[in-house]
Amino acid sequence: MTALLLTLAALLVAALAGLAKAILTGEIRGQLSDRCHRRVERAAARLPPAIARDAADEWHAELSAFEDADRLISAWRFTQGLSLASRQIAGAMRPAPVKRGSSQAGQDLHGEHDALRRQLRRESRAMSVGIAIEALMLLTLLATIVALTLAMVN
Amino acid sequence: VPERITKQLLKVLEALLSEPGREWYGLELMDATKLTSGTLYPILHRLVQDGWLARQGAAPSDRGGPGRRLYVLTGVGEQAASSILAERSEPKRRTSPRRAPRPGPQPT
Repeated sequence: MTALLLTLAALLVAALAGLAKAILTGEIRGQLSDRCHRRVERAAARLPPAIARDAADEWHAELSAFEDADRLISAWRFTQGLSLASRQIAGAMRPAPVKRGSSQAGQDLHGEHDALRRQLRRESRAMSVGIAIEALMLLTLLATIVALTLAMVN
Repeated sequence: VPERITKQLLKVLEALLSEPGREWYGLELMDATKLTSGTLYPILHRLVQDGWLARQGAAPSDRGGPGRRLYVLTGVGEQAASSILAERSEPKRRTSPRRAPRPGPQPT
């Protein structure tokens, strides 16, 4: 009788763990997807209006392709690079100034350098969040495996 | 010809020339060249601006979202890319000046 109760309890724990994992995984996927699509919008907003909508559509579509292939980390990395891409494309489309002194050019370079450093810092923070989410998913998976093993042993 | 021919640009051209008539998604080019989106898309944009690549809209996705874009090498782009890659693959010529031959022994 006790063994039966223990088995039932273990099965219940395993089922709850599975449910929790499913909810957590779905939730994380949803959050990650939302953040990625918001990043696409932010990156596209940096582009000149003439090409912004088209670029946003292209990047959203590529992002969806990553998601369809269950390549969530690649999707995250893809959106990380887009802000740099949009900045470079916008810079290339900007008309070159007619006359600039060397000090002005130096200031521009400093500004660009600072902006790139800030961007890099932001992206490395975002990357850490991505890794933490992955670790959390792995832990959940491990917990489920342990619970299932316990259930089988009992 | 693009202002600067970088290693990354050469990678993209190599990938495109590996199958000249093929239509590529950005994601496929990222996988083929191992470049990040931050590097690849400015290159693609520049090549489209220069007329080396044509950018086409694909059919909308099943989810009803926007369709993906396809990139295909144009005739001009194919010729130019081939010549750049051929130029790069040629062995570098020696540029150091030859030394003048030493004068022989003076007759006494």
